[in-house]
Amino acid sequence: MTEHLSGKRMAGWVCGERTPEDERHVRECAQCGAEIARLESALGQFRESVRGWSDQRSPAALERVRTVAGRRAPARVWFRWPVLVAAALALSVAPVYKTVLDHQRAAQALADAQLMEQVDREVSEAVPTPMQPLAQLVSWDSTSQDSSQSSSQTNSQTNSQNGDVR
Amino acid sequence: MQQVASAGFLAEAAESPARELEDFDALVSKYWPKVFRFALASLRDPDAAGDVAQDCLWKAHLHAAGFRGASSVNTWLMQIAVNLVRDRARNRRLRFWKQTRESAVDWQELGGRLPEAASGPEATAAAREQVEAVWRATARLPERQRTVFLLRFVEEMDLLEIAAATGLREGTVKTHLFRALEAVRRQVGGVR
Repeated sequence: MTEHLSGKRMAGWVCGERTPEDERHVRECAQCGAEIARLESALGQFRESVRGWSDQRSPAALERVRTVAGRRAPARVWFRWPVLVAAALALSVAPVYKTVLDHQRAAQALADAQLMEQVDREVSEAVPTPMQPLAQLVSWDSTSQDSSQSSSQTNSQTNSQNGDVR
Repeated sequence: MQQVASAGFLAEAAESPARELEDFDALVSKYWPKVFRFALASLRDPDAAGDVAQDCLWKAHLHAAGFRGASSVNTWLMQIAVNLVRDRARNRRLRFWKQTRESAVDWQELGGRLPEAASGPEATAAAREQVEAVWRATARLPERQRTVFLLRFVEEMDLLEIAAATGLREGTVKTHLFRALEAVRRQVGGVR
């Protein structure tokens, strides 16, 4: 009789790798035969116990998962396409929206600038009536011609009022 | 038997596998028990196994268009399940609970799920002892060895299918399987 099967050969046997020599040995050696039978039996019992355990727990687990999924599945399944379409739309519209926004901002900035100019102008022009003569003495405008004209007019008026004649 | 099963898987793959994945309800009905069983045996937690099975089938359904049919639907699903189980097992929180629960597997419950053949008190006790021994041995196996062991001896997949599901080479699968078997054999009462 050949020597007993090693652990590796026994594993091979259980996995279906059996040489004629192994088969002959297992037939003849009660010890190896018993050990292989015990191992195969244990593996079979283990498989059945796992399947039994799983069969027992599986429906409840599936029910639990379905219950949870039932709460969130509509959102995931039925609303998936609308959400995706909305997101795609938002992404495609974003550059256009940005351009429009930029234009709006530029227009707003221009309008603000114009408004401030107008305010400055009105403030500069809004001199109380009693101060008008003085205001006319001061040149608010940058055009020196206008200022010199108004200045000469003012001077002539003043001079005539005072009776000065040149 | 295995050849018949493999032939079945091949025939299954040949008949428009992507279409099978597109019908989520049909996918769940057909594959839930198998995926759940593998996850349960790996994680030993029915809730976690349920989550894994759900994620697995949902992912498969979502990526149905990407499935080219290089393997059977069954192998592809097991590949997803193996990855999900591995991710779960690596989760630190789960690892903590796993350590505390490792010895808390309900042996009575498992022993109570023995086949009819184990009739008689002595035979039942012996069978229960064997089942407990295998459970203990698998609990101590490194992750890959355990995965390969479960795919082979619970799911009855052949080496090529296991290689496809785990992404390992056939030779590596065989090495892991033999080591796992060696550990189980010692636990069951091997003399060598």
